Amino acid sequence: MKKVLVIEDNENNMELITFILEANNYETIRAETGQQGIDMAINDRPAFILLDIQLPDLMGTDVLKIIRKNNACDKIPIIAITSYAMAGDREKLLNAGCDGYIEKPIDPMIVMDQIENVIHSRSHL
Amino acid sequence: MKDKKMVLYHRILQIFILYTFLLNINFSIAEDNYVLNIRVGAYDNRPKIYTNEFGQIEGLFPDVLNDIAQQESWKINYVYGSWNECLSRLDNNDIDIMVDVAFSTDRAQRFKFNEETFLVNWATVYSKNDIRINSLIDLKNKRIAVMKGSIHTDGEHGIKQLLQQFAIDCEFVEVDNYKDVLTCLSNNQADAGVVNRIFGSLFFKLYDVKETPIIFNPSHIKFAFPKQSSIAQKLIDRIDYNLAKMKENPNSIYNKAMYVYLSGFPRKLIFTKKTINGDNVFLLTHAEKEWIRNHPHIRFGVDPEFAPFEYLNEKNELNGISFEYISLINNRLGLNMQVVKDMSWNTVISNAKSKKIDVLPCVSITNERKKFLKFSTPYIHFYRAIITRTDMPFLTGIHDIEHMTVAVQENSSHKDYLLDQTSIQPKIYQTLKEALYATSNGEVQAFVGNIASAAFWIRKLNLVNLKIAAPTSQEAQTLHFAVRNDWPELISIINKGLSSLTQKEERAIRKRWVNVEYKPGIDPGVVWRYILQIVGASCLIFLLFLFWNFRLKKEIKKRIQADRELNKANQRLKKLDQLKSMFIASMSHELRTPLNSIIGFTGILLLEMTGPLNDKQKDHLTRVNNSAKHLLNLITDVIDISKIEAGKIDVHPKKFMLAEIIEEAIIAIEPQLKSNNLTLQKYVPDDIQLYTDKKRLLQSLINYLSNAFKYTEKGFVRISAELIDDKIKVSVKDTGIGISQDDIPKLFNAFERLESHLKIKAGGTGLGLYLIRKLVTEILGGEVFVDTKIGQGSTFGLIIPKSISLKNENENDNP
Repeated sequence: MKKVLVIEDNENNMELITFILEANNYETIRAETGQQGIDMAINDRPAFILLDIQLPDLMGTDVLKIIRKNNACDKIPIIAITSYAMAGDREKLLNAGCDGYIEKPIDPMIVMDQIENVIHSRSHL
Repeated sequence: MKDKKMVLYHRILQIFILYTFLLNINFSIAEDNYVLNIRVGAYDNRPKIYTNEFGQIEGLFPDVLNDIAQQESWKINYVYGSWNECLSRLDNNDIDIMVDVAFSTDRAQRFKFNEETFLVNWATVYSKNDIRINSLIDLKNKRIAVMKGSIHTDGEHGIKQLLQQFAIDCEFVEVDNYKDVLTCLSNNQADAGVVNRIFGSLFFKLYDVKETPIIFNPSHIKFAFPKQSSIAQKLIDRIDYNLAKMKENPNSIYNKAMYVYLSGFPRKLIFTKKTINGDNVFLLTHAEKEWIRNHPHIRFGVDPEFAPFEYLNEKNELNGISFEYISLINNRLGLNMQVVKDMSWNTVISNAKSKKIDVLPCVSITNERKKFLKFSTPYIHFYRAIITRTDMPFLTGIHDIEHMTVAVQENSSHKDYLLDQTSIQPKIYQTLKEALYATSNGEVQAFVGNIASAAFWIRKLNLVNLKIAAPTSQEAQTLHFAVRNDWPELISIINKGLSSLTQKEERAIRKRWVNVEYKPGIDPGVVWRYILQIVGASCLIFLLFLFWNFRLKKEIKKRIQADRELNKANQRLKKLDQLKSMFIASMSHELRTPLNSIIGFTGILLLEMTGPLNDKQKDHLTRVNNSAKHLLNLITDVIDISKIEAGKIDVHPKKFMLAEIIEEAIIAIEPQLKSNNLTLQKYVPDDIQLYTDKKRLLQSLINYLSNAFKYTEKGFVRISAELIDDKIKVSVKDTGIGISQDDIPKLFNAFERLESHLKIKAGGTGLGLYLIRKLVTEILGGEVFVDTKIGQGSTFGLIIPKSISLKNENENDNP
C-alpha cells in the first residue's frame, strides 16, 4: 500500500481527505503543521504528499521549498491543496516545486481522479 | 612907552592898508587882463557841432566849451568853415582852438592836443535788417558801403586795411556821407556799411538797418591847438581841468549834453534843471510839431480779427493792445490817428499801398511791405507758431510740416515768411477765422500764425481740437507801427511816442490783453500732466496687481486647504480599501472552510463510502449537499463581485486557444448536460488564439452555458464563436423559455431572478449575469449582449478583444 502524507491543519478537511484516500486503498500519515510535515516527509518517505497551503506555522511555498531541498524527499510528488481565493499563488506554487493542485472544496466524486492524474503524469517525467 | 606902542600900531596899520590896496589894484588889473578872447573853429557835424536855424553854433562841443568859457571868463568867437578850412586855419594860428579833432600821431606833429579825451568815437558796421553779420568774417563777399575820405574807410585802422589784414574779400561801395551809407543799406545797394558810432546811434532807426557788433578804429576826440599859439598851453590846462570836473559830475553840462545829443533828445533838455533819467522824456522838434499841425487827420487801418492785438468787438469798436498804444501816443504827442472801419484786412493793405490808409499800427516787417511802408521801432513781440489738431503727432518746428498742407492768412507776415523762407506752398485764407476753421475740420493739416491771436480765436470759437503744436523758431517776431513811406517824419514822431511809455505802462497793457504767455520749449504743465498720468496709471496697475495677488493668495490657501482635506479623505479611503481587501481575503477563506466540510462529507456519504443509504437518507443528504453547494456559489459570487467593485481583481492574461476554453467550459457543465435531454452544439473555429484572462472568460462561459441548460426544457444549446476584426464574439443560444421584452433591462442586474416555473429548479444566486457583465466589461474589456423572445429561446453572448489591452494586466504576471 502506498503511503500518503497529508499535511493539513484543519481537522475536518484532514478527515475528509484521509477518509477518501483510505477508501481508495491508500495508507495515510498525517501532519498538522508544516514542520511536522517536513520531518515526516524526510523520515517516512511517502509515495506522495498532499500539502495544504494555509498552514499555521509556515507558508506552503516554504514547506515546498524545504522539502524539495532535502535530498531524502526531493523527488516525492507533491500536490497542493489550494482555496479558490488565492488565484495568483497557483503559479507560484508550481514554480516552487509542487507538481499539481486540487482546489477546495474537495469534491469527493472527482478528487481521486484529480490526484491520480497528477501522480501518473508526474511519474512519466 | 606909550609912544612906541602907538608908533608900532600905526606902522602896522599903514602896511596893512597898503597891502590891501595893492591887492585890489592887482586884482583889477588882473581882471582886465584875464578876459580872454578865443577864436574857435566851427563846421557842420551834427550833433557834435552844427549851426542851428538861427545861425547859432550849437552841438556837443559848443555847449560844453561855452560852459567852460563861462567858468573861465573867456569870450568865444566861432569862425565857421569846412573841416579842411578849419584845419588850415589852425595851422596858421588863425583860430585858437579846433573842436572834434581825432587824435593821431600824425596830427600830433601838426597840432597841439589837450590831455582829456572829450569822447571816444569809433566805427560801427551796420547791416541790412535781414542779414546776420556778427563778425568781420561775415563780411566776406559782401558789398560794404563806406564814406569817402573817412578815417574809418581809408585810414591806417580803417575798414579796408582791417579786412585786408584778415584777408577777407569784399566789394566796397563808396558814397559821400554817412547818410548815404545807411541809405545804401535801405535800398539794398550794399549789404553792410560803416558809419561812426555817434551818427549810427542817432540815425539808424530812420533806415531799415540794424547795428552789428563789429566796431573798430577807436579814436580819441580832443581839442586841437595851433602849435605856435602862445595861449595854447593855458587853454589846454584850463580845458583839461574843467573837462575832468565835468566828466565826474553826472549833472554837468558835459554829461547832459552827451546823453541828450547821443540819444536824439531835444537840446533844450541839457539846460533844464531836470535830471535826465530817460523816463517819460520826449519832446518834439519844431519841425515835428509843425508836421503834426499840418496833418490833423491820420487814418489807420486794422485787421478786424487780429485779436488780441487789434480787432473790432461786437459793438464794432476798436479794441486791443495796439489800440491802447495808439490812444496813449495820440494823447502824448497831440496826434489824431483814427481808425477807418468796415474794411477787411485785404482792403486795408491795398488802401495802404494806394496811400488811402496812412498808418498800420500793428504789423510785422516783410519785404513786400517795405515797398510801400516805413516801420517804427518794435513795441510788441509775439511768437509765430504752428497750430494743428490735437490728434496730430508731436512737432518740433517748421521742418516737421514741410510736407503738410498748411493754412495761412492772406496779407499776413506769416504768408510771406512761408513763401520766402520755407518750401511750403500754403493754402491761403482770407481771414484768420477761416484759416483756423480749415485747420479744425481737417481741410489742412496745419496753420502758421501769430500765437496770441490764434490762441484768442481758438478759445473764442471753441475749437477744442486745435493745439499750439510748436513755434516756428525760438525767435520772437516783432510788431511795429508802419507808416506810408512818403511820411518819414511820422515814423520818428511815433518812435518818440513809443519810447515815452514807461515799463509800468507797457506791462499793464500786456497784462490786460495777453494772458497767453507762450514760452518756447515744453510747457512744464504738460510735462507734469504726462508724468501724473503715467504715475496715476502705474499706481492703478500696481493696485490692481496687489489686489489680484491678494485674491490669488486667498484662492491658493483655499485650494491648499481643500487639497489637505482631499488627502485626508484619500487616506481614509485607502484604509477602508485595505480593510475591505483584508475582509475579502479573510472572509472568502473563513466562509468557505466550513462549507468544504459540509460539501465534502455529504458527498462522501452520498457516495455510500461509509455504508449504504436508504432512499430517504439519500434524498435528505442530497438536499444538504445541494444547499451547501448553492451557498458556496453564493459566497464565491459575492466575493467575486466585491473584489471587482473594489478593483481588486487581478487580471492574468494568458495565451490560449479558444477551442480549448470552450472544451473546458463544456466539461464543467457536463453534469448538467448529462441530466438533461438536450443536445449541445458546438460551432467554434479551431484556430482562434486569445490573449486574455482565461479564468474569467471561462467563468463567464460556464455561467452562460449553465443558464442555458437551466432554462431550456427541450431542444438544444448551441455555443458558437466568430472573429470580428480584432474581437471575438461568443454566443450561447438556447431553445428555452425566452425572456419578455420588459424584463430585458433587468437581466444583468444583481439579484434579479425572473419569475418562471423553472426558477426554483434552476437554483442560482441571481448574481450570475451580473457577475458576467462585470467580468466581461471591467476585466475582459468587452461587452455583453442578449437576444431573446419569449417562448422562442435566447441567445446570450459576449464580445471581447482578442488581445486584452495592457492597462488591465497585472505586472507580476508572466505567462
